[in-house]
Amino acid sequence: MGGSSNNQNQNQNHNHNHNHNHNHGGSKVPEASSGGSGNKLLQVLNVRVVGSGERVVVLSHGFGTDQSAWNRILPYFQRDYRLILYDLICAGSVNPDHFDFRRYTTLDSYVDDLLSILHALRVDRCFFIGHSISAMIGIIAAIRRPDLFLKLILICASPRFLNDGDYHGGFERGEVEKVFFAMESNYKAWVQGFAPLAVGADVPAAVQEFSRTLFNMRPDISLFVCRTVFNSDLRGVLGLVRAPCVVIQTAKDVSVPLSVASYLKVQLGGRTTVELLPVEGHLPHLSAPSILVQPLRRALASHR
Amino acid sequence: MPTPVSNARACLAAETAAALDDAVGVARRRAHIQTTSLHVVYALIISTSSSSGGRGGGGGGSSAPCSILRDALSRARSSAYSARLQFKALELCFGVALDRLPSSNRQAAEGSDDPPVSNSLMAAVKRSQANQRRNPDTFHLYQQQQQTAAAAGGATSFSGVKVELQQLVLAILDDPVVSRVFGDAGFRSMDIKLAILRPPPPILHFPRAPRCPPLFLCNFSSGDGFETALTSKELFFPFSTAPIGDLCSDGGEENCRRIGEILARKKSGQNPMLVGVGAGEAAREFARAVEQKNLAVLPLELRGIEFISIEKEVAELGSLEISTLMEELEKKTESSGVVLNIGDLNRMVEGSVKCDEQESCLVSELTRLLEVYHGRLWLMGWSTTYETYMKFLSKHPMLDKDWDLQLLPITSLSTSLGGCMPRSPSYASLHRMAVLAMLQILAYRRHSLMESFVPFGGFFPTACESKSLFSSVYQSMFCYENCNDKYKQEAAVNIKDHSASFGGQENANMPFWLRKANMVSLQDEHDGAKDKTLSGVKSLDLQRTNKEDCSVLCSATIPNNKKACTQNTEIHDDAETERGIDSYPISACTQNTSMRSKSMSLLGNKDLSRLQIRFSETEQFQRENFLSHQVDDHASPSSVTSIMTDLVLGTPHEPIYNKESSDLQLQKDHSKEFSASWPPKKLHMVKGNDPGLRTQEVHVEEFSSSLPTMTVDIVRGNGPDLPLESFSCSDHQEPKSKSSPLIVTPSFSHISSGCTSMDDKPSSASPATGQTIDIGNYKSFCTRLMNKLGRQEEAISAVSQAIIDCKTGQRRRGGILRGDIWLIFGGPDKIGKRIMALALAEMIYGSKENFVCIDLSCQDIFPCPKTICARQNVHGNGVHFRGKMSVDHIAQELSRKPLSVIFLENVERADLLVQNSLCQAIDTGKFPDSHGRQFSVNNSIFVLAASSTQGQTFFERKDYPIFSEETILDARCWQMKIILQSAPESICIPKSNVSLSITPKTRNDRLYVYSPSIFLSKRKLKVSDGCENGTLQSAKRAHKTAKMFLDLNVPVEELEALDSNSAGQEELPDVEISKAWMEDLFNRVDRVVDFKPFDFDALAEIMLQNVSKTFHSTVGPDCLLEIDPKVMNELLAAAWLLETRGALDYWFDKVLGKSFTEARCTYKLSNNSILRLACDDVLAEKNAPGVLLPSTVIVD
Repeated sequence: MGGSSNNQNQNQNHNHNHNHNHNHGGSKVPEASSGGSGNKLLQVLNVRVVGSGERVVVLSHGFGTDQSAWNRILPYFQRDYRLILYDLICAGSVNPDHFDFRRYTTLDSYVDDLLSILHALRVDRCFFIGHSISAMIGIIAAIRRPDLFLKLILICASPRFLNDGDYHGGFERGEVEKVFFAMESNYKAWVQGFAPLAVGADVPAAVQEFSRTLFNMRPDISLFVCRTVFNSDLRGVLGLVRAPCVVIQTAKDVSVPLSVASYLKVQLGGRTTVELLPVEGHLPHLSAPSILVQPLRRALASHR
Repeated sequence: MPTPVSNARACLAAETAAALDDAVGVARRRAHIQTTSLHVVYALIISTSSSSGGRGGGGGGSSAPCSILRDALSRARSSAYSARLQFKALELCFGVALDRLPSSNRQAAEGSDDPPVSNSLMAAVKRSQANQRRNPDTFHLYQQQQQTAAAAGGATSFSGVKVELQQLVLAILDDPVVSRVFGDAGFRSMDIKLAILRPPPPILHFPRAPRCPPLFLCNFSSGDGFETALTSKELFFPFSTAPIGDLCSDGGEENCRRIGEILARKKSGQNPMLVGVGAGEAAREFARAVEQKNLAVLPLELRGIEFISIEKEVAELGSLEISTLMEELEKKTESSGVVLNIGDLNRMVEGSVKCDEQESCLVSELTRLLEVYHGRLWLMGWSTTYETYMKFLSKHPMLDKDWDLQLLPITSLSTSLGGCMPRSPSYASLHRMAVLAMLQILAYRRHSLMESFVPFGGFFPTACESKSLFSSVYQSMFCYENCNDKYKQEAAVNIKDHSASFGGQENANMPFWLRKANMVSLQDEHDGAKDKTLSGVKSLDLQRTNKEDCSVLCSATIPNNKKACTQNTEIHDDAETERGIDSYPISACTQNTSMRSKSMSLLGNKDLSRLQIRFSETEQFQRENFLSHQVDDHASPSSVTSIMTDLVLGTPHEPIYNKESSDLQLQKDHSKEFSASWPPKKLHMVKGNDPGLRTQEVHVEEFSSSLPTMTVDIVRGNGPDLPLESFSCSDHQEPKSKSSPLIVTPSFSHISSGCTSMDDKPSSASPATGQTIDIGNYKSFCTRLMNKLGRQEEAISAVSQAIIDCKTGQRRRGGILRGDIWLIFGGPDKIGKRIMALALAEMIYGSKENFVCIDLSCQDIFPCPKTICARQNVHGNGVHFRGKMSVDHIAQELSRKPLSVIFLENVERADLLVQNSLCQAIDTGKFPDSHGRQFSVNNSIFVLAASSTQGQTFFERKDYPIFSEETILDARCWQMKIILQSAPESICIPKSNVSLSITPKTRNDRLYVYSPSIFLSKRKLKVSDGCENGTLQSAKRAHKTAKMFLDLNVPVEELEALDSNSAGQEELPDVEISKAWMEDLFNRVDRVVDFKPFDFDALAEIMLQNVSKTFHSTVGPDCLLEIDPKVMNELLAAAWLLETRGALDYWFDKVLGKSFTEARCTYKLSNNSILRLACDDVLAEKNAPGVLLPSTVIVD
C-alpha cells in the first residue's frame, strides 16, 4: 500500500463529476482480487476522496446506482467532512469484467472490498452512510471491524427482504421468484416498472437518474446481485453490531416496509435511532436530497 | 521549432505515415502554419467518414487502419445520440477547432512546402515511440517490424521504432487540446483510449467501455427488423438460452470458504461460531464440502481433515455418555485433524436442569480436548440468533476465550432463489435492450432528457453555425481566398456523404429533411449549399440561402406552434468586399413559451485573435439558438450557461463605443443567463462602421412575449454605406409604452441593466420613456402597491423608496452597473410579504408570471401542501423541481425568468448551499448552482422573506391577539359542516334576545364578541362573563386550547412515535451558522423592510359580521350559531390570502347561505336552537371559485 496516500491525493483532485473519474490507465486493466493491492482496488472501484474535514465519512451507494447518487448530498458535507466515495463492484460505472461471479456470491465479499478500501486509505475511524444493499454491507462490516465504524447511518435499510413468520420483510418468496422470472424473461418490462416504482415519489429527475445508473449495470450482474441481496439475511447478526446506528427510513418505500425500521431499532446491538423522512421512495438521496441532508447532518453531528 | 514533415514521417510506420500525410493535407488546405494533433484526428475522422474513400494520399486499401479511431469512437460514444449525429458533431467540432488555429500568411501557404509538424504532435510521436518500445503488448509488433526491416536490409537503430497508428492515436488522445475537442463533441478521451486498447472480440461480445453501452438503437436501422423485435412481445432476455454454468448465486461456497479461512488461521480465534439465520445451513454445507473434499472451498491446510458432528448427541444430552464420546473423539483426532461440530447452541441453552450438568461436563471435556489437541482439533457451532449465542456465553462465561471462538456472521442463505445464473449471457444484446427500454421510459420526458444531456449542449450541429463561421471569421481580407478554397474542399468531402444533389433548388430538398427532422442532414445540406454558392455564386446568394434555410429550419422544428414566427435579421456589410455578414435567425414561439431571452453582443476588432474569440461566441450562440429550436416542447437548456460563461468579449477599440463598453459588459452578463423563457427578449443591434476595417455589431433585440412582434432597435453608427435589411420595429414600442404599463416595464428593466444608454442614437427612445416614468412616480408606485396590498403602509413606502433608489443608482451596495435589487422583508405577515412581492413583479416586470416564489423551508416535501396559506404558491414548486436542491431550483428559475422577482420565503431556513450562493450573488451578481454554473441576477429583484427582523427577533405585540399568525398558517381547507346542537340546556345563554351570540355586543367589546363562540364550542359555560380582564384571559386560554385542538387534529404520522428518541431536538451547529449568516445578510442587502403583524382580530370581526349577516338573512334572528375555532381559522386564512373580498362575499352568499337555508329546512329550527359550524378532519375535495374554501358546506 505504499502509494496509497499518493493515490488519495490524486483522487482528491478529481472533479466532482465522477463520470470523468475513470482511473483505468495503461493497456492492462487492473484486476480486482480479494487480496490484491489496495491501490488497484481503489482504481477499479473509482474511489474518490473529497471534502476538507477531519472526520471521515464513507458513502456507499445502493443497488442500481453508483456513487453519483450522492452528488446531491455531497455539497452539504464537503466543508466539514472528508468524504470517501466508491462504487460497489456491481455498479454500472465499474468495469463489469471485474465482477467475479464466483466471488461476489455473498455480501461478505462486498464487505471485503469496503474494508480493503478503508485499509488502503488508512482510515481508522469513520462514519458510514449506506443505502439499501450498502446498509447491509455496513452492518456486516461493523460486525467484522467494530473498531472502524463510529456510527452507521443506514438509509432504507433492511436486514431481510423476504417475509418470514412474524417478520415482515416486504416480499413473499413466491413474489420474488416471479420477479426474477420476469427479469429473466422480459427484462425490459421489469426495468420499465422498477425505476419509477423504486423512486416512488413523482420526481422525474430522480427516476431518470436512477434509470440511467440502473441501465448502466450489466443486466446479468444486476440479476445476480438481486439474488445475492434476497438471499441475504442479517437478522441473526444484528445484535452483533456495537456501533450506534441511525436508521433513516422514508414514509413509503416499495422495498422496505416501515416495520423493518422498528425491527432494526429493536434488534441492532448499538444505540439506534430511527429517523423518518416525510417523503416517499426508496431513493431519498435522489428524490429528496435536501430533506435527507438534515437527518444526515444531525446524525454526523450528534456523535459524542 | 516545428519539425519538417519528412523527419516526422521517418518515425512512423506506413499506415501512420499515411495518416500523417492526410493530416498535412488538411493543414495545407487550411493554410495553417503547422500540422498539429488536431489535424491528424480530423484527417482520421474525415477519411473514415467518407465511405467512398476520399483520401488523396492514403491509398486505396487503408480502410482498416483508419477505422481504428472510428471503431473506438463508435464504442466509446455516448449512447444518447445516434452515431451519425455524434460523428457529424465530432467532425464539426474538429473543423471548428481547426478554424481557430492561426493561418499562415498567403505567401507561405502558396509555397510548395508542407506545413511542418508541430511540437505537440511531434511530442506525441515521441511518446508513442517510447511507449511502443516499452509496452509488452506491442512489443511483438515492434519485433516483427524490426525483423521485416532487417529482412529488407535496412539498418534499423533502436531509436527508429516505427510508430503504429494505434500508438500514435493513443498518444494524441493525451493531448489536452484534442481531448477538449472530443469533450465538446460529447466524447471522453479516456473512453476512446479504452476502446482502442480493448478491441472488440468477434461478434457482439465486446466488453463494455465503462458507463457506455456498446450498442445502440442507431446501429440497427429500422430496416433490419430490430424495432419490430422490440415492440413485439417475444422479446426475451437470453438468460434462459445461455449455457447454465455451475455458478449459483447462493452464498454456500462463500460461507464454506470463510469457515475454512477461520479454521486455517494461525492466530487466535480458530474455532468458528456461526451466527445468522443461515448458520445451520452453512454448517451443513461445510460438512458436505469437507466430505467431498472440495478443494475449491477448503484451504490447503485443512486437506484431509475429518468432520464430526455431535449435533445429534448434543440434542439428546440427557442420555449422552460423554466419556465414550470423548474417547471416540480422541481416537479420531489422533489419526487426522478433526472439525467437531457441536451444532445448534440453542439445544445446549434450552436443556433441562439435568441436562445442565451433562452440558457443563461436556463443555469442560471439550475445553480439555481443545487444549490437548490444539492444531488438530477444531470446534464449530452455530446459532440462528445472536441472542442464543449470548445466552450460551452467559451460561459458560469465558468460554469464548477457552474455546478460542471466532464469531462468524452468516448473512446469506444457501437456498438459492430462482435457479442458476447464466455464465455468459450475451452482454451486447442485453445492453441493447436495456438501453432501448430506458429510452422508452424516458421518451415521454423528453425535455428532462434533454436537460440531462446538457453536457452536450453545444454539440448540435447547426446550420447557422457554418454561416456564422463563414461570416464572422473569414471576413478578413487576407484569408478569404484561402477560406473559400478550403471550404470548397471540405464541403466536397462532406458532400460525398450525401447522395442528394444540391445543384437544384434548396426547396426541392426541404421535404426530405423536414420529414426526418434530421439535424445532420440539414447540416449536410447546408454544407452542400455552401459548396454550391462558394464555388461561384456571390455571397449574397449564400446569405439568402442561409436565410431560407434557417427560416425553414425554425418552422420545421417547431411544427406544432401555430404562432411560430420566424425572424431573420440580416445586416449586410459591404457586399462588394463580402465582409461583415451577420445574421441571426431567431424564432419566437409564443405559444410554447419556449422563447429564450438572449442577447448577444459582438464587437469586432482588428486583431485576428479577437476575431477568433468572437467567432467562438457566435458559434456557441448559434448552437444555442439551434438547440432551442430543437427542443420545441420547452426545455430550458440551462446548462448552456456554462458554455457561455467562457465567453470573452473583445474590448471596443473605437472611441465612439466607449459609451457602449459598459453596456457591453452588461450585455455579456445578460448573454450568460440563458433562459428558454419569457418575455422580454433582447437583441440589440448597434452597428458602427469603421471604413476599411471590420464592423461592429451589437444587437439588442426586444421581444415582448405577449405580442408575437419583434422589436429591433438598430442603432447605426456613422456608416452611410450600410444597407440595413432588418425589422425596425421600435415604433411598435413607443405607442404601447404610453398605453399600457405592460410594455413599459421591460424597458424599465432595461435601464436598470444599463443595456441601452445610447440616448444619442435615433431609435432608442424607449429607455428614456421608461426612465421618466419610474423616477417621477414614486408616489404612484406607492399608491399602486397600496392598492394591491391594502396594508403595511410603512413597508410599502420603504419598498418603493428602495426600488427607486436602486433604479436611480443610489444604492447601498456598490456596483451601479448592476440592476439587481436585494430586499429583505422581515417580520410577520407572511402573506402580505408574498402579495407585495407579487405586486412588485407585476409592476416592474409587467406580469405576474415574472414572479418566482420558492419556500426554502419546505423544499421538497412534495405532495401538494395542505395548509391553505401554502397552497397558494404551489404552482411554483412543480413536478419539475422535485428532487432538486433548492439552489438548483433557484438557479433554474433564474435562468428561465431572468427578469423577475425572486421571492424566497423562510430565508433563515436556507441550507448551506443556498446561503453560499445568495451571498455570492449579492457580491458578484452571479448566482452559482450546485454544479458551479453561474446565473446572472443582474435583472432580478430578490426578495428574501424572513420571520425575524433586524435586531429584534419577533415583533412584540402589546395586546394579545386571539388569532395568531401561526394558527392561521396552520389552517387547512377542511370540509365544513353544519350541525344541530342537540342539548343546549347545559349552555347558559346570556340574554334572551340573543339571535346570534356573536352580533349583539360587537360594538362594545370585540374580544368578548367572538370568544363566546369559541367557548361554546368548547363546552365552556361562562359566556356571559362581561369582565374585560376575564375575557381577555379566557380568550387567551381559549386560544391556547384552540391551538391544541388544532394540533391534535393534524394527522400524526404514526411512525413518528416510533422515532421516540430521534435526534431531532438536538441543537445543531448549523443553527449558529445560520444566525450569523442572517446577520450578515441583513447588512448586505439593499434594504431591510420590516412588516407589521397582520391584525387577524379585526379581520375576524369582519368575518363574523359577514357570517352573522348571512345567518340572519337565511335562518332568522332566533337561532344561535357557534363557530368552531378551526373553521374560524380556515375562514381567516382564506380571507388573508385574498386581495379583494369579492370571492369571499360570493362564498358567504352562495355557499354558506345555501347551506344555512338547507339546514333551516332540514332541522325545522325552533327558537334558541343552536347550530354549529364545524369541520371534519377531512380536506375539502373542491374549492369554491376564487377562494380556498370548500365548495360546499355539508348539512348533517
